[in-house]
Amino acid sequence: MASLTRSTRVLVGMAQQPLRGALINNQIRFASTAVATKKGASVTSTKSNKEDDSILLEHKGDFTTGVSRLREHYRNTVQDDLMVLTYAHSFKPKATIPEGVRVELKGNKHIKPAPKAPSSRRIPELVKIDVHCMMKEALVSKYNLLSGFMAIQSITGEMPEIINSKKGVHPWKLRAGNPIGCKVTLKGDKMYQFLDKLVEVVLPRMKEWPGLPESAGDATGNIGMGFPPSALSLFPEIENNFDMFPRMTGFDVTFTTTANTNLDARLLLSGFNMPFQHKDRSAPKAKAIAAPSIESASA
Amino acid sequence: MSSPFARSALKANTLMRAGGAPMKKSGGTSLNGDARNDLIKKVLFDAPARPPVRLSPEEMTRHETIERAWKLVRQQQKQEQTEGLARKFEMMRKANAELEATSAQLFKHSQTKERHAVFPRQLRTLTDTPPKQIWNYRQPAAATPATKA
Repeated sequence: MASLTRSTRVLVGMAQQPLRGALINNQIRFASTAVATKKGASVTSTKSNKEDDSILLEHKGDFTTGVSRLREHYRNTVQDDLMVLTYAHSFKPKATIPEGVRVELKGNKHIKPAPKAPSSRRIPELVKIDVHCMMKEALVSKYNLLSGFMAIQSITGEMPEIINSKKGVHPWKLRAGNPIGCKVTLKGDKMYQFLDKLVEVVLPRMKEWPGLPESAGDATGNIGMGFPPSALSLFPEIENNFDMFPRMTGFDVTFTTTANTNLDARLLLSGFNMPFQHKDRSAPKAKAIAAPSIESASA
Repeated sequence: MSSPFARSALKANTLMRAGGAPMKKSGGTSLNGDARNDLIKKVLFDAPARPPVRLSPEEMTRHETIERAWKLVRQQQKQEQTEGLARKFEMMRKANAELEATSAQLFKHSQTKERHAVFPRQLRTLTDTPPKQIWNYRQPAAATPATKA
């Protein structure tokens, strides 16, 4: 694509390099450990002559490099604007239900958490992104799940967890406790990186995708979306070794935010360039009634 | 563009099929002679762990100092950010209070929100370098309800 921004090119370039845990990286790891075990003996023998006072580095979580592009964008641009856009001056606190009192709403509805007063510390923010895929082929053989597992790991850079079915459904040949899908939760740098990939690379390439619906959201500030199997091949990590995946699977992505309403959640996501559909709600255009009068005036 | 590993796995598949490998469903991970699942399983779960990183005491102090310094920088940035937001919020609150006291109609208009408001699609996230086309002057203005009203 000629119109690739530099940021997109960086993303694609990063994807072409092996990710932690990606196929190629593991091949290299095989080779390097083989070499290390061969040569290691000689190294330790020389080292044991001197005092070996080396300390084991304990790796606690991800080392933050601070180069998350979308997080910077959120802090510089989106956060301030969101504070203004979601501000409600006339806020009245709802009557809190005292402890121990059980309130039941009609129609199996849930009581939403009471909204809190607007504050500079309570601005809608992205908390986590859940990527989940369920594969029906896993019913036939659980090893069919490996393709989806590997795909999600390549896309997100994190090892997913396998989801087992809670209940059995006999018509679908599903037993309780069958491995049926995989899910991964992304937070922090990895979350922003995944969102960046989606918005810059994958969504523009999707055919006939008009954008998220105008009414997207679950009324408590979270937004979910689904992708067909064809979308998987648009990710740079999968595009490069397409043949290694036996099966292409669809997946869904859920954005969890600290927003309280659908509007706030949509505002937040659109701040990251997530496209939403929009209807033209302007007043209907006035018909050309003035035309004959102009003609008569000129004539 | 397939990697050499993909090509070797596919070649293994074709060879197995040509050699008349029996189609057995319960044959471990290789379903119907598909060697790719075997490879994926090996890569994901049977790969040996990386050798642990060992640092000398000076290297360790160096590492810890760098980590602490970076943490401090991030802390200061966050503090700055929070203070800036608090100041802006206070100014906004005062302005709203003044408007409420001044004109009830204007205040009501200021508080009504558009239900389907989103950031404009032309919003540009920050990049290292500017785009090839800085601004499209010939593009017609985006027809959003807000602009038309």
